[in-house]
Amino acid sequence: MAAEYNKFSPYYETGTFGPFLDIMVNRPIPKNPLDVEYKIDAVYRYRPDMLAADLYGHSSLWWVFAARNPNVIKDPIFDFFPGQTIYIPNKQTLVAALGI
Amino acid sequence: MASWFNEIVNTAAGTVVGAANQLTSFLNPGMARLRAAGLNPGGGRVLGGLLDRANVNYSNSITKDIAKDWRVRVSSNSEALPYSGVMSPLGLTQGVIFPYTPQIAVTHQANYTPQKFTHSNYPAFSYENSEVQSIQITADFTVQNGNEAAYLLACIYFFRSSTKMFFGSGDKVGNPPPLVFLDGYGSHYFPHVPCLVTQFSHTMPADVDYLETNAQLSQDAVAGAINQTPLTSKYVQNAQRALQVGVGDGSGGGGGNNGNSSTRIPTVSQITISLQPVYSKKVIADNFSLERFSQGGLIDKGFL
Repeated sequence: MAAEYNKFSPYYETGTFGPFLDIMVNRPIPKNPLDVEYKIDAVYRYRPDMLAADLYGHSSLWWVFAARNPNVIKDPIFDFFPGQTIYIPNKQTLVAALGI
Repeated sequence: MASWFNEIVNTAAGTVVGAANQLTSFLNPGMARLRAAGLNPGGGRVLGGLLDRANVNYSNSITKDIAKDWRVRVSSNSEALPYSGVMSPLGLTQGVIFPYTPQIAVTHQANYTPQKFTHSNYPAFSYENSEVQSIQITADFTVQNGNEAAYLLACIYFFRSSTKMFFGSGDKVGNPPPLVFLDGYGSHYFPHVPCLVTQFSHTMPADVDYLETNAQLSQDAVAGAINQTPLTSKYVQNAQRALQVGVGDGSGGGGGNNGNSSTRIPTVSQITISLQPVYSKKVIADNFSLERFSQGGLIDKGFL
């Protein structure tokens, strides 16, 4: 039986067949002119989940930073290092884009 | 009355809010982390929309320590060629900084005279002299707004002036063209090399757009605001404000802000300059030593 992914998951749009995930369907995060530019601090080194929890109250939104900054963050975890400059998606944008 | 009252009220309110924030931070580590990072919950901006970036410190070419700047810079003695008037934008960068990495050719040459003896297979070479030939710099400039147009115009006037002697009137009449100094790529490649500008050319392509800038207004606006050292934040702000005021937006058709003072600058152009390194005989006699030079010991004298 395939696992069910909720709206906070990057796999929510991805289909399943049997116990397997199908080819991943990305969930892009649209740009917003109000998005804040942020240089990652040492406290969030390799911890997008912690930043997501602090910002949005949901650590399961750890992947939204990579989705919003695809040209900067290839690896959602290990490209999340201090000094890296990213855009922080606005919570209203996430609510609208992800339906959460 | 109202102003001091408001100030006191705001200060008191700020104290209360600050205390509340500190308490919140103490109770909520996540909030403390966000506050340390300069972020707001939800990723939004602060009230009033003044914050557009959290803790990003951009490389600032204006306030950067010039001694540590590795970019190629052609500068002058501020007394000989002050960065004022139309050249005031150069005060922001303390000389000409090329927006794109320029192509530079440096040739070190040793001259020998061959002695071709009769009935010999190999000539003998007698040493004549050595020289550093003129440094050829080719640099591209693009202009996309009024500030860049003003900067390019300043560069053009800088190099134009560097090829002319002091003549006619003024305190320095009779002096040759001013020396310029070449810096770039760290301490050992172009160590503040004193140079003469022997040639300057600026191409004006036919197939590009031309952007209008109001040079006269720029001169008036920046007079006295730029030519200050050392760099201070006030100086930078003055110069930036002057630049913003002093240039047109280029959106007009045939007419400018002032019919007599507007200038059109190509959006894409190229500058070519020849810089001849030059050293006084006294400096050479007193300081040059091949042993020291080969060990990098003469970089403070600008020897190439």
